[in-house]
Amino acid sequence: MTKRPVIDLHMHSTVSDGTDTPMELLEKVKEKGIEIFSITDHDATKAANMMKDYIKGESVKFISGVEFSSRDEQGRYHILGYGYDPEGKSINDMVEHSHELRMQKVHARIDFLKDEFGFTFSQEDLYKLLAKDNPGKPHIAKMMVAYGYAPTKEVAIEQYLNKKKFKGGYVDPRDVIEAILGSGGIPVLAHPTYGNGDQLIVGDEMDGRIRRLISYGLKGLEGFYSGFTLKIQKEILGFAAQYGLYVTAGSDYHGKNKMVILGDNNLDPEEEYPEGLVRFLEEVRYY
Amino acid sequence: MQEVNIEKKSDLVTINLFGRIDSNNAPLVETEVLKDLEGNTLPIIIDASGLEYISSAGLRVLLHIRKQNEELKIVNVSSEVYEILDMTGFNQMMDVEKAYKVVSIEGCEVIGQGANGTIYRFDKDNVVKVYNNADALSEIQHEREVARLALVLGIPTAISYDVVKVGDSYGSVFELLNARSFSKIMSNEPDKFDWCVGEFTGMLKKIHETEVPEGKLPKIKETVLNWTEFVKDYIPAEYYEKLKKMVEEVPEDNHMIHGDYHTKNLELQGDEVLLIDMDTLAVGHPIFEFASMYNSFIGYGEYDSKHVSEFLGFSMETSERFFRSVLATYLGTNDENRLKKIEEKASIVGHTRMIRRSIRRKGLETEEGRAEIELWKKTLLSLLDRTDTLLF
Repeated sequence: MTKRPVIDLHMHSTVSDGTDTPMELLEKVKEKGIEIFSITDHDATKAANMMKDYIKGESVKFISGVEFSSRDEQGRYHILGYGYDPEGKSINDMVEHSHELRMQKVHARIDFLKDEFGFTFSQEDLYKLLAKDNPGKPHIAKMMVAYGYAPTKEVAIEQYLNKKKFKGGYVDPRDVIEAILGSGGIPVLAHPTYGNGDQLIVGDEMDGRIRRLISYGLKGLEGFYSGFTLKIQKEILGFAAQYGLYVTAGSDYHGKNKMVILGDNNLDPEEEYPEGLVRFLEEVRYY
Repeated sequence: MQEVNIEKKSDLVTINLFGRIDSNNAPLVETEVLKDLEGNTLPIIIDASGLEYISSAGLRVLLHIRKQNEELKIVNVSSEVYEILDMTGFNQMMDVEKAYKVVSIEGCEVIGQGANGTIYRFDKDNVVKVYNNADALSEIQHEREVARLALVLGIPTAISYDVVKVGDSYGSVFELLNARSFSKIMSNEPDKFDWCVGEFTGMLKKIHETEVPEGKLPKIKETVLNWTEFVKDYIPAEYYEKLKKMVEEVPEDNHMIHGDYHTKNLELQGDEVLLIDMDTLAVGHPIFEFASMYNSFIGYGEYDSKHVSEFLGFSMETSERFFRSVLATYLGTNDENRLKKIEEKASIVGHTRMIRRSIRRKGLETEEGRAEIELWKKTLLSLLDRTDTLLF
């Protein structure tokens, strides 16, 4: 039988918070012997747009990717989108919408710090902050420490930034899933057990989440992930099989600033791949 | 940074974690560790004693460290953190050791003594068994398992509910409400002698009537063969051969034996008689149980009776009378000749064990030790001269 491909479908470039450019990622992917990859920047499709030109003539296969942060009354979710048309209207509208919301929040936070605590920043630093692709709480916190407004980033976030509450202003998972589907993509729940990255959701709670997202159009689960234990992996693969969902595998590599190893997702090409993953690799669109 | 502090020694790297680690600071912790451990090949220990809380983002940092450093161990993990590690299977991916409460036994009454440790009462309701061996976690685990097995099979015993740190050793904690050992009862209330014989024998029979599923407990006969092997170098060859043959011909037996059955290991709690100190539990023929009982009540006092009286808390005379009464009650006979013969068979195995134990504890290096070993050896040889089988 043909050998199972080495894959990594979850990594970040300098378009969001990774430290490697999309081109550098392509080189590293080849060095690692990864045969199928996707770049999944936060709320951004830029890498997919760039890669569709770079990838021509390469032996590795590329799948367009994105990772949207979303939230509703019931929780927070990171939703991956795969194989969408990089020029698709719905997905690029969503990218823009997410970016706008994020920028609005940055402005609201800066105003809040000024009104509540009298913390102000130089125009130059504010400009630098806003010029980032996806500025967020950590970036503002870092500035606050530099200005001596808070002793550490944690204090800046917990004691100042988190005091600002937002009503709404979040992207709803329904809209994210719809936007991915609308551009021909496959919506997949990223690291399901960890929610938005810092939660721990298992058992019935996980089941409830998955059912709800399926009713919105979710098609897959990230079943292989660098941060999963075997126990978690087994649970997620169980849900995928139970609901007939696609399965994906990703490392969540961010480059130099995290210890995640490119290609590490606990998937072993020597072992049989689950049916949901085989089906995903057959049915997703490549570039 | 305040959440992480890395100490490097020539053979080990220790990462100390403090406070709360969550998505706000996990990336910083990761960067810090990454920077410090670049190219590291030494084993890593993560000390979590100062860690109050760790979120899943923090746990993933640990997992990433583990992936780059095979030999990773996390120690002093609080119960709360351990629960999360267990629920998510992180404890299967790396070596995790829980934090143990520290208990002092200073001034605590010794209520029991076993082969592997000493039992202290540290408050009204609880006792702690402190293990002799400093690295006793696997022994504690073993004793827990066998105690649970015994309980399932119908033997009343106390099961430890917590592991604590006592000085440099580990202890396991049991609930034992106002319990008194049979040694204590015998020394404080001599008129209860007959009652004690009855209860003590009753429990012994109950143990010996308990069938144990294959493979659940070690075979005492194999242990006794090891003792025999040990004395090979200290007794004439023909005696060794005879002894070995006698042990070998004792048939296999799947009934339970306690292995260290004496009055300090039997407790009265209310109306209930409880067996404690279960780590020597095994399966085998009752003659091997009688052997260790012989030692506790008589053998260890043969050279100097205070070894028995100080340990058990009553006189050697009482102790001998107790052992013989138990044997007679157990066997349902007053035939002195028969009882004497069985006691001699038991003492053959008993002496073999005592000689080994004393030599291993450097008995040959002291004058008293040498005299004691000499006496036991002489007794053993003369017993072997007049005995041909351990069966009865």
